[in-house]
Amino acid sequence: MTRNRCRLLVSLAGLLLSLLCGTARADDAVEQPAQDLGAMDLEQLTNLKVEKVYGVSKFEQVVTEAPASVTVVTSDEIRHYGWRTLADVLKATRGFFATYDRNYSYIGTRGFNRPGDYNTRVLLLLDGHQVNDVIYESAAIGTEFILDLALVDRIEIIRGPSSSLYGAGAFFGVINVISKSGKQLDGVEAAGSFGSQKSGSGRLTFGKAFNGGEFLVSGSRYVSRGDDRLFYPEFNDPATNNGIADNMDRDSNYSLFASGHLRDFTLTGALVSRDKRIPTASFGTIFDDPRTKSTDRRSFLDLKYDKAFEGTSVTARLFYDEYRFIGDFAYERDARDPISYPATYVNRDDHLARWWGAEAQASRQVLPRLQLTGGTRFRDTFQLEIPNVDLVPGGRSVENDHSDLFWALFGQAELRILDELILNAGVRYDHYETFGGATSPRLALIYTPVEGTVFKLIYGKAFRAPNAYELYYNDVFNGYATSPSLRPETVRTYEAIWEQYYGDIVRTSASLFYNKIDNLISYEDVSATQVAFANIERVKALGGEFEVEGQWNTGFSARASYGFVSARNDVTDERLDYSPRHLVKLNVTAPLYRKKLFAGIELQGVSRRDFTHNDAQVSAGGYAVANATLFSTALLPGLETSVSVYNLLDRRIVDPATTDHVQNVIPQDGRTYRLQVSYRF
Amino acid sequence: MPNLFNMTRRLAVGLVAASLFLSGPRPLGAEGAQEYQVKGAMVYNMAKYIEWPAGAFASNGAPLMICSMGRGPFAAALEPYRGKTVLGHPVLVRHLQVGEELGECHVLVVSGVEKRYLAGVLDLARRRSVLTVGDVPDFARQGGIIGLVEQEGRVRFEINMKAAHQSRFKISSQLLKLARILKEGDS
Repeated sequence: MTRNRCRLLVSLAGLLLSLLCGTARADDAVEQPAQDLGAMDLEQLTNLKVEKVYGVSKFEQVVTEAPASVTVVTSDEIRHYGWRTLADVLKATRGFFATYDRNYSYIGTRGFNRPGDYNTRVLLLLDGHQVNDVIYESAAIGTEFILDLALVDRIEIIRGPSSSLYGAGAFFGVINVISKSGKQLDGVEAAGSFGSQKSGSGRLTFGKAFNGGEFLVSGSRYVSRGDDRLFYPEFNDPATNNGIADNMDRDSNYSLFASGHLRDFTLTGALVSRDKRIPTASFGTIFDDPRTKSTDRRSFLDLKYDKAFEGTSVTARLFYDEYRFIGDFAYERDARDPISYPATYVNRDDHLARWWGAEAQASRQVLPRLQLTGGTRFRDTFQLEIPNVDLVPGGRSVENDHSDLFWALFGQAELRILDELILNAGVRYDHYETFGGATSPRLALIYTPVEGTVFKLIYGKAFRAPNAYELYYNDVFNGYATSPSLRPETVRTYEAIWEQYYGDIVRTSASLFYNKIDNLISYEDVSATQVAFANIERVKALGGEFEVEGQWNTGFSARASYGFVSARNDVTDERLDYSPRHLVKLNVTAPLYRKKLFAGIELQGVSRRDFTHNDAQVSAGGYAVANATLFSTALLPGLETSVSVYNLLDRRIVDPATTDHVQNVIPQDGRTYRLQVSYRF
Repeated sequence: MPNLFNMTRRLAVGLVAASLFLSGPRPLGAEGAQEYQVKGAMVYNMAKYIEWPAGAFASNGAPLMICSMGRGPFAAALEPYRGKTVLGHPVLVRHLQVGEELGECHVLVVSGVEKRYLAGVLDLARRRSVLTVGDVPDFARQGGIIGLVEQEGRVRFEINMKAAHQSRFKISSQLLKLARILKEGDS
């Protein structure tokens, strides 16, 4: 312990020193004579320490020939920029942003952001396994995400409706998180962090490769008091603690992850449980009451089989999933409540879903220029309980049990019409018990006139089935008029992409898109006390994005992007709520000392978001925020440290709130910091 | 918005200038050999330790064709060996697209190819007795003959013996002793 602390101190001192001396580093590189590698024998070559080519994983085939605009985020970037959650990753990604209501984070993409929708329109995958649950279909990107970000090898962010390729639910895009393997870790790693708001975390990971396989097990714990004196002027009254939510922002989680493969089989198990107090008094709950909180517990087991038979690659999966949500909401007794109730009581959502399923996919080059892929998926939700009860002896309760059977067929053909031209056509048919089937086609032309230049033209259609929450949810107040006749939403997309590579160092990407969304599910007031989900909205969005990105072998990398969207609500012919017109991003990593000490600096700008809140037209102001991280690796063997400062200039940032809140905007954190240390034995 | 952009621009210019100043360009290879230069040298060197099936070469002095497939720096890393000789065979280098015929290839280097193409490419190579070398993850396990894997900052080999036998290759013991061997059943 003492020794570790000693090392920590030494490395911290090292960090500071090298920062100060950063400019005088001309003499630190020991020049080696150019080696004639061709003259060396194999044994010498295998003993040679090699320097990884930066950016290869970024410029790999999957990005250039994928029928979509794809961003690959690597574990190096996660560490260099001090990203804590998937929300942090998305905020730095071209065309994306995220908002936070101090309970969940909400993804914004292509002009569309709906605080309170639990990200039901983005498909989130962990190693190809669907993370979205079957009740809310939530893509958890905050501290409730199932994997510690330190265990992420890379993240593929695929823009646009990609249902035909990746599965139902890929309405606006797909986030595919790929975990590290035991082979990559090869040993024990212990990590811990400490930061503002009395935040702390710990992690222990063990990974090992053996002949024919490998495995990895890891456990993590995170605790934060959050902002323990949040002030909401809307509640500035002596009866509500003068608007101060005292110690109401607590956040904690624990997560376990295990993955191993033996020959052609991979078994993965993951679990996360997160508790969050809700400081905003949303849904009319009592202000500053610590009983109001949410618990999300998500887990799965996934067995994958992966094999090539005589030129056909086959992947099959068998999985079992669980999701439990407990939402506690403290209320004051009012005239509508039974007279026997105490003055205050807790109302609880105690939701539980269990499902299992299987998936099979085969891909084969049937002709020299034709690659066919086909597959099927089946999911049986045998338990889906969404009751709402008052935690009062003999209190009100609403039982609400359902089940669901889902299956899908999909196929894709990639035809290399010319050496430079690929036609990619995919179609997917999904069948739900609730409303029947829907077809998602997708067509893309990928043209590479010369090495390094790629044009893509894409048409796609995707749909989103109403989820169980939208279809069935009601509470003891009968506040929801359930709507079993909901139809799926559809989105059609037209997209043109131009990617240009300048050597293996610099890349630019420009895209234009037009999205048309029909039958969008929103909730509307049906009476003074009831809301209902209905297919009421239509949206048209026209936008463009531009990005320039470079990675040099010195370890220096930078990327800058600008996104513009004009999104309109087609029913009211007004600008779409919560939709910023402009997004700007800048990310720079600079090696300060060899490839051991890096500075990662990021800047994000989001323009004003207008929206309607309780019949008033309001807005959340535009903002620019800067984050900075100093990261060191291998200053001592096995040791990595980082110091991050978020919202460096302590700017006031607010995100929009839905009508479930009295507040129309939710202030975000000011300047915070985090110190992280990891050690590999 | 003017505020936002003004600030963004000022900060951006400042940050870029600062980090350029701090990092600056630096000569390549200052700390170690480049990954793909080493991999290219390995492919060239390896050919000396492989015995191709009878009839693979028209004559003793016939050229040895090293083909590469996929995106990325591997193809360029093979160029320096064009025109050199391996056991009397002059080396030729060619780049192929996925789906192209393997023609006269003796070695096929696969790098930066999407996984779903891999089974087809390897199947084609197996039938024509082409030595497959690749650095896509799990290359040897997927049916490639020689996989290049990174281990503690060094490039190492994995050899799939079953795939080598199927394509009727004989691999010298000198190469085998440097590699991790995937046996029957592991693959």
